[in-house]
Amino acid sequence: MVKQQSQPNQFPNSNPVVKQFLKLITSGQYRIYGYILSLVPKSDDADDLMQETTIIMWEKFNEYEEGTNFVAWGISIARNLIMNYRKKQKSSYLYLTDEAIEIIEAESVRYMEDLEHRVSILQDCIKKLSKKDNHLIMLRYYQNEPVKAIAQSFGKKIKTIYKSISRIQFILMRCVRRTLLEEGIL
Amino acid sequence: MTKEENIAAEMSELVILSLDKTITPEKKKRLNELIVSNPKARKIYLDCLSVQIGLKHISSISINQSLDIPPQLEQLPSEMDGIAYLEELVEQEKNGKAIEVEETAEPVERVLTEEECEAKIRAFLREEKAIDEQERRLEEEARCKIRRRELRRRQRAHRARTVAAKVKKYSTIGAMAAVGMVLAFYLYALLMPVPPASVAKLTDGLDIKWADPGLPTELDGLLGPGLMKLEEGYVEITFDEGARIILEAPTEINLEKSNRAFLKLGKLSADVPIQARGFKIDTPTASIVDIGTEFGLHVKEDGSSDIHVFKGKISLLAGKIDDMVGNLLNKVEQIVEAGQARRVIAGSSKIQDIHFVQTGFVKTMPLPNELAVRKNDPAIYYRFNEKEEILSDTFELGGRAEIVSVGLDLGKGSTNCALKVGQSDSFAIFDGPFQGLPQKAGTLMMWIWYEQPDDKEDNEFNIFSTMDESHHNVQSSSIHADINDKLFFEYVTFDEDSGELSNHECEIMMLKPARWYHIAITFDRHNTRVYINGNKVGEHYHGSAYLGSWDKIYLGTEYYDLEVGFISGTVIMIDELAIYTQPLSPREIEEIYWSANMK
Repeated sequence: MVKQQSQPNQFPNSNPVVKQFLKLITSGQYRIYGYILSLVPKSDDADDLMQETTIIMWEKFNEYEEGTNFVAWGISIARNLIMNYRKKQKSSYLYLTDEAIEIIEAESVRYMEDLEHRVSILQDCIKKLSKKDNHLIMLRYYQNEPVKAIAQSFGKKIKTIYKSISRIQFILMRCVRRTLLEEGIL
Repeated sequence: MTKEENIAAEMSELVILSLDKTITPEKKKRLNELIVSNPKARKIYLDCLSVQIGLKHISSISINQSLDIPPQLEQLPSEMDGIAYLEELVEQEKNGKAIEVEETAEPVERVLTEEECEAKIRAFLREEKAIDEQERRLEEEARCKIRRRELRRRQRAHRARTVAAKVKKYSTIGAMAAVGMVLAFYLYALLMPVPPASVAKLTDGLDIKWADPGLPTELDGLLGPGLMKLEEGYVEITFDEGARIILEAPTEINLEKSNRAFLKLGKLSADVPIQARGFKIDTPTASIVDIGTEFGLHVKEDGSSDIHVFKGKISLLAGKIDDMVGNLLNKVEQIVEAGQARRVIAGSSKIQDIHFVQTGFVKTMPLPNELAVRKNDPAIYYRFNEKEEILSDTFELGGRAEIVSVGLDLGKGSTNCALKVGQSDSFAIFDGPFQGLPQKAGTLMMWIWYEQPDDKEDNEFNIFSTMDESHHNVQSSSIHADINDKLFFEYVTFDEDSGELSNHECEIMMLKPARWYHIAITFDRHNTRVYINGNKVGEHYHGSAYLGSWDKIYLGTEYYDLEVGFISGTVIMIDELAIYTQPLSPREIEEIYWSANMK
């Protein structure tokens, strides 16, 4: 069996450009998504905008200069899409006012810089939840059960389930903050 | 509760309601007020969102319970109701307790779930099998080496004898010189190194993992004779005489010559240009001689071989390989032409006709989204990128149904196509093969896109439907939408005990026209679940009744109404149709959706 190696080379189809793009988008997608969500706090719409942002980033990837800030580039694309989205929607459909958007935008970009770290802390915090809270979180976020369906299964009002989820979110938020304080990041 | 904690509790609720689109105008106003006027509230707002992002990507590792949810969930304690409990918890936390921790959640060794146990057992068995295979391979390689050495020794002896026989004819004086020549020749033959018998080159690949790490994984790496085992990934090999094959792991192959190979196990597709005509592939039960063609070959664990001819024709010899000589014994010959498929049964020379499937083999290096779909081993997978793909199979196209370009595929820069149906009586009917397909459990998955219908009177249009003609003669399931962009899933369940058929319809969600959506439907003995863009949007528990079986799938098409018949629809595009014989998990569906999010 001949095991002769040629000069290191690339396969024509395992395109290095694709690999580079996937690497960059994988490491930056939380931050771009976080930025979008902070200006469009509606899960479905934010997901759609993230999808569109990724498509445009891929289509314009040849314009991206290697070594420059990939996330900042992604955010600038997302920003244009968000502005277009806001123009197209009726004001009653939008949850944040122009004033709120203006104020939150700058803070959001700074905040999202350590989002990956926050998310990794959160994974540990979830493990510390009580069994019942963990169960509820699993139903809502892992199994993607709508709140309505959970409420029906539990024999509770929808409002009650929202309160419970809100409470768990509050606990998790505090847990993440406490860990960041301990780490000296906050 | 401090003022800040009050704000945090309030913001937490506002964010959740906002994300779920259930926020009231008053609360929306309050959200804006807090963001604009209170810097602390803004921080909390971003904190809430970061938690939501983390929860959205929650991993199974974070879940400390079994994923099997009983049909009736245990109820939450009554003290969980309302803000009172929230306040109580906040109070507890203020007094120093960081978070509620279950005693059982200590990092002691936990009892594994049934699923995890099975996974461990499977991993152990895989490991055992890999060790066995490694031993077998080493044994086989050793045998091959001995055989090759013996062969070389015989060849050298034969050459020496031939030369010796010739020189006998010469005179005694000449004989001395001849003996010298023979000796020199013998020494030359003995000392001459065996040439590096490279017969092929690695010309493409993806996530390649050979069992032997010494084998090349980069472009133009040379390959020669010897059994090679591809454990993971895809490899394109081009033989020196021009034939090109793509291997799909797990595969075991021996590239014997520059126009011949032995496929011991696994799948390959071959593209043989005119100059490589006569290219031959042996399997444990068959021998395939190419007559200028493209074909797919699958050798299974039991040694049986399936051959599907995509273009041209092949000569198929069935029989048992003689281990010593490498020739086929008791052979039966057949010519197999494009669009035909045959199976050679292990341990016999029997050739069976089987249903031709164009899409069961990888013919070009797969892209990330294709890999994610193939990872779960779909029974049927149509990418709609080649016209022949659907024309030569059992798709029936009607009206102006066609394959159209819908942009660029990630990676190759090649055009990504989809099936366009649903307009002016255009439709596509997939009429099998359904052998081995799920009748009681499975997954149906595809990407869909539709145009806003012009005709407002056509208030409903079908995206796809499955038909159960041979069993119950009903439309067993369908996804259809109405003019208000509401998507519905309708299906029929059959109760084996009572023999009753029941109709079910559920509204899934609002969709937007001119946008791609990923739809997956999973079903098993008890539940049917619907996923849009990786998220579960509907679930129905149907007890012992199961989803009706399928004889046909109508894609796009018109909406089928029992009374009216087919109702014409709008322009619909369908892509990446995959059918699995098992219900995929929420995680698997999410992964597939995200891997193709470049669409």
